[in-house]
Amino acid sequence: MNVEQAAFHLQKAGNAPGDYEDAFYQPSSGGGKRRSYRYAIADGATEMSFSGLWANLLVKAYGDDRLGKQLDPRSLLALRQQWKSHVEGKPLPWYAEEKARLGAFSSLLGLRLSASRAAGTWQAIAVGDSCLFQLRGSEVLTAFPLKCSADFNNRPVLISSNSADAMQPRELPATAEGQWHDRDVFLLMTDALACWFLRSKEAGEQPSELLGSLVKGDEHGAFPEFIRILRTSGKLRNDDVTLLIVEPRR
Amino acid sequence: MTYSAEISRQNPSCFLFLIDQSASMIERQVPSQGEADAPATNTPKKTKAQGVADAINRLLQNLVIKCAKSEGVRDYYSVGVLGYGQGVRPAFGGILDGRELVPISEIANSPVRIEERTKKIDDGAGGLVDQVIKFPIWFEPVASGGTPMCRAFGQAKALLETWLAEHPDSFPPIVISITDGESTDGDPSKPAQALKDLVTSDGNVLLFNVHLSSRHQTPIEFPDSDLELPDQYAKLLFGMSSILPAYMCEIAKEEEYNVSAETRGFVFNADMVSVIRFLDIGTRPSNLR
Repeated sequence: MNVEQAAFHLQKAGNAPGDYEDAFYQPSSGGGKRRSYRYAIADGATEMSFSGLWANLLVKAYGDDRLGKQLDPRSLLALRQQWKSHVEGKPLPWYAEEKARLGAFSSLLGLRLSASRAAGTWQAIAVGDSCLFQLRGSEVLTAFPLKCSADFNNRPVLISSNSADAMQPRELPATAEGQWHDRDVFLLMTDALACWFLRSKEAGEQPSELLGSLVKGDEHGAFPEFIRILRTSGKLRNDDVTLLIVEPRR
Repeated sequence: MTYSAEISRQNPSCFLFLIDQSASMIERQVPSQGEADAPATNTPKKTKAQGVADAINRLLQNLVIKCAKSEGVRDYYSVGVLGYGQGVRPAFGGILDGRELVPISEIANSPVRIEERTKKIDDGAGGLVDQVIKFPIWFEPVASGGTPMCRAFGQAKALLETWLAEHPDSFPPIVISITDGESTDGDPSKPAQALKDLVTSDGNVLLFNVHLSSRHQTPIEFPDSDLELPDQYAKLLFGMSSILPAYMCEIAKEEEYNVSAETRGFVFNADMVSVIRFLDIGTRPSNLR
């Protein structure tokens, strides 16, 4: 199989690019033929510190297939130790020390695409409110893990960098799987964009056409303008935004 | 008027604390509940003045931590503290002496001293372990003079009028008054109402009250009527307090407070640190302990 892939991201309006605390992973060469491809996005919680670092560790670990199908606790422990050693490796003022003690939190959405002679298949895991959509033409075949715009709020359950906040039963990842056909499109979005996407669908609009035009246009110029217009019109909450578009072919 | 304005460094909001430093604060109070990080040397009954100092230090500590990021403290708020007793004046000491409204990042870097306190925390394996946490001190207990609460509200109003002229579309300022409620310059209801009548395009100024009392009484947090309140001072302060905005009520419900559409920003012999958690400056994980 092979894929066409594109990644877009933008920091919250008013913030510097370095304040961006989402993260994403995509294979370095989408054009080559492989048996499977892995993608991930993560959204570090704004209110915590060192969240961008934690989000990056999570997507990289998923991309490298180090987290297992259910977020293996031992793998997470290794990531937590990595995060902790980075944070504790530098002297911090009292408030940064106290904030770091609370830990970083992040969503994680991972997608694995694979293909055999018989069919293309996909598996996904999610903690939090980053979302996956599988499109066939203008139809949304899958919305995962959230199904409608009313499901979003500012207090999702997220993956903690603190062992003391390790996964409780309600924090276990949601999983989903299915099949794909040639010309299906997978969209991975962090929460603000995913909420807009679902709300647009609920209003009878075709947001996938708007997003599809991004791929055909100038990747680096069109996306910030597209987001700016949505934010200015009040349709998109001001937050970091990340979008991966993946089109697999057998 | 929805209390939905984004709080950001470009569009900050404001906190103003009014702290009662009058002579009546020398009386001893019932210890507050939930002060897990109280110093080990704390006596069973501390003075109300110590209660005020603990309350304001804890509120500032939590507000600073709320705004802290890996690169430093983001100026989501300007913060003022007015003390009243021997007159009404800005209460910060040290390098902030005389300052009325100060960016939160400057407050973060200017405590008078930093104590280390011990707190029990979950060890992640079903047990508890002691953890040393840093507790900054900005304010020491003070108790002298009368209780010119009306003048304090008047000065707060003047201070906020200046801030509001520069921030007409910001999330409205939150005023937190910490007192035993025994005003000596008249009924504070009218000046309190004048303060609450100030507005931005996003809503009225919010006034919340922390009542520290010498009476033995179970702490009361965020009541929606004054029926259970023990005396006329508590009822007065309850009546002066703003109703919690709907979004704060939603978060309070998630934190298992028993709130209704009539719930007011008032606590009796309890702390108000939870209000800091009610503030929305971005995604906050619901599994944060």
